[in-house]
Amino acid sequence: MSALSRNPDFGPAAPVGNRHRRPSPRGIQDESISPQEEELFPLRRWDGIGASLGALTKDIAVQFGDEEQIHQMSEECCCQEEVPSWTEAPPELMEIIMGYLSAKDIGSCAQTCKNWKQLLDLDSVWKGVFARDFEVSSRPRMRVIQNDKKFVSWREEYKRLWCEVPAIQVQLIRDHRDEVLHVSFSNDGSMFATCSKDDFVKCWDAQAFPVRRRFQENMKEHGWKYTQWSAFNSSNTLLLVSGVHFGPISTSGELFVFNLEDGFTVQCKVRNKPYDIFGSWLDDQHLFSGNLHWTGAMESCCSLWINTASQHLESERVGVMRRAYKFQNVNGSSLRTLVVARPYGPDDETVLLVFSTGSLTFIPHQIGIKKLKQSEIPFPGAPAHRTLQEALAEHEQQLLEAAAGGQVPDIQYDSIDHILDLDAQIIGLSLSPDQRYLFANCRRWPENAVIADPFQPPPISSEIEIRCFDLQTMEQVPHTYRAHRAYTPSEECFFIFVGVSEDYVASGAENSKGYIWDRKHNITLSSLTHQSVVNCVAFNPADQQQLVTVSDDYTIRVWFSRSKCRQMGLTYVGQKACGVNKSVQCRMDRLETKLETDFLPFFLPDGAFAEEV
Amino acid sequence: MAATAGPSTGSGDVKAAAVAPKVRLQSGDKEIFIVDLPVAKMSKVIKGMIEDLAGEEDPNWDTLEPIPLSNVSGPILRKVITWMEHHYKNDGPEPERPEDDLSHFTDEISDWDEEYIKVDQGTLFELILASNYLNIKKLRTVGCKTVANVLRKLSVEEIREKYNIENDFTPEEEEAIRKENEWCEDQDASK
Repeated sequence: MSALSRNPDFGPAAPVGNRHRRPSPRGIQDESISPQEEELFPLRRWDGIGASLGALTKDIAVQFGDEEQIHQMSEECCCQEEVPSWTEAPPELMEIIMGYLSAKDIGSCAQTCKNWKQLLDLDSVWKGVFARDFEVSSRPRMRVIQNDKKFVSWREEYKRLWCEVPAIQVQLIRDHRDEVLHVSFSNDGSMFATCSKDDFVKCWDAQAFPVRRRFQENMKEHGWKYTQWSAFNSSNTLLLVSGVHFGPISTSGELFVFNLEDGFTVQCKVRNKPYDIFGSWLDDQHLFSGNLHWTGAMESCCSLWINTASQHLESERVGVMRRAYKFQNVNGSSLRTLVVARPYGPDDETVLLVFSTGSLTFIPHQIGIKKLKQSEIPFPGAPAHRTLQEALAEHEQQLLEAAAGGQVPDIQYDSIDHILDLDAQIIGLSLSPDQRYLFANCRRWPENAVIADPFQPPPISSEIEIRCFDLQTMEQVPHTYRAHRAYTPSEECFFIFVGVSEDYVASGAENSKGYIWDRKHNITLSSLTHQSVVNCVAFNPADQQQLVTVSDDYTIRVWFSRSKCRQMGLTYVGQKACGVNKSVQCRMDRLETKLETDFLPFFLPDGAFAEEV
Repeated sequence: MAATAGPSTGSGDVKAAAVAPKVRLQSGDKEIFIVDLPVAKMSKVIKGMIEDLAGEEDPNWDTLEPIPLSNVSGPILRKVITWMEHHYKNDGPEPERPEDDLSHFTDEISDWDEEYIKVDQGTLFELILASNYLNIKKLRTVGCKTVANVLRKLSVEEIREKYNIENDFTPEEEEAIRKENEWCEDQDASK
């Protein structure tokens, strides 16, 4: 304890400052204000009227140097029973206090009186709360957000990210009988399709709420082991489904095209090898498939075929499939996750073939990009398509030339125009809705990893990161989205797909959660809880406030934003805003588990919702 | 001053280290408190004043004028000094934190502080004002957090009552503000 002593003899009476004045960094200067000047500052009292009177008396007493009275007054002041009014608490203190309150509590405080309302509407208050709840601690990032053209105020920004992100689970669908691997939306957002290890592909009506199943097909009947991936064509009339075949060669896959306007009938069937090339639509009526053949111990040739989606032969002379491109694979690698992108819009000449590949090991660690011109794409059946006779004649000719020159012609491979090396294992590729940006889910290798044996890839990080590339410039966008985790080692590593909407990015993870980030701000907005690995997430392209997640827990979950819930008249029990562990679920989840029906009854009274533990 | 220590003031520093110099602080009601220099310096404002008063020279601590803190009353200053002494003894000087550091949001209030801050509303308010004026960030944080902990448990009406706030809204205005805040009504209040 300090020794304290009152020293009545001490020096000139220090003028009493207005207690309410803000301290200056050199607070001492305040003390030089004379009583005359003092009057320039109106007495802004935070005390109640009674206390204010008391304090005023005290001030006078001090000015007159009445020691006895001062002491008395100060005692009184400290021990006063009455509550001081906080109406005019200093703004900087209110700001700090609000920093510990939720947006909801700040709302309550703002309702108390005009002065507080004014204080709490200050954007500096909301900036702090935003930084806290969305865990943005760096100034440059705050500046980036503030400079965004959509930015109005920190309060509005908070409101948007709280209300418009699909973080509320509104439906749990327990229909697949095994791990659900993939979900994809139709381009108009009216349907989505799911693929699963139970070998079913199911197509759901997303416009109805609750979501209902429209079509399904058991692919076991077609000799498939499981369905793994699907995509709707641009007119939403056809569904391309990719699966893995039963058979001696496990890498063999197959593609089916279902007609959605004709009761989910099969109208195309193509071999696809390796199966993890997945396949891709080239345009509304054409799709890519792959084929692979080995040319050496570690080398192989991957060819991409263009197939017409409709194989009802109108004429036996019109081709329905054609080998279009050949790429060389080295060190045991192969082409995977093929994506077709039109980064300058659907009517531009430029078409990009994007895929994952590798040059050092069999694990995909590079993104390969082949630039095509729409007018030069060798469509099957097009005039330039050679007949078998022509092809044989050409081959004969080549052999003759080779014999003359003494050289056997090499396989003519297509060149890859851009290679982006990620120094990481690529576990998923997706495009932004405008197809300009490519998002890659990847798991980093240790820094300076050396690969001596292509079959011994470096260990991979348990942290997944999403990297984003601008397909117009081929540059990496300086945003990396992190928070999600994966634990399986390289060899067993499965795909985890990224979902991208106009404003958000989402991904599954192996820690039983899906995550949503803000695309521009690079902030983790919400996590979406499952019971097991979340394999894929997909935003509704027509409404980014709707999201679907699928998981190894056999379930499909549908998520709405809070404002969409409100629009639909759904109530929910919310957890905290920001970051991780803060999304919301309905009790339906548990009811559903017991009932095992296809979808949830959505006519429960408000009281029937509860948090899931 | 340690900050301006040079060859000429070296001996003074040695002396200062041997016998901790004391400074006198004077409250608004002219109460004088004698406090160890490093303890007093936990307040950034006192630190600044000392540096101003002491100047470049090694001051004679015994004849140095008391530091006038006219915005703080004696009883409150005593309580503030108690806090500074405890924390100086246990944690040392307050570490510098970058301005945009957010860790104070998650720092827990220590048991000692929790006990310390169990005071009536009037004292709490004065303590917060004093810590703000004296620029003792950690004490201010403890105070503000304590207020926040109370606020978050209260309804609008209860806040008005507890903090002596007069409702100056018309019913229409109040309803409009309630509507305006509807979007975050489902936020969990437990953080």
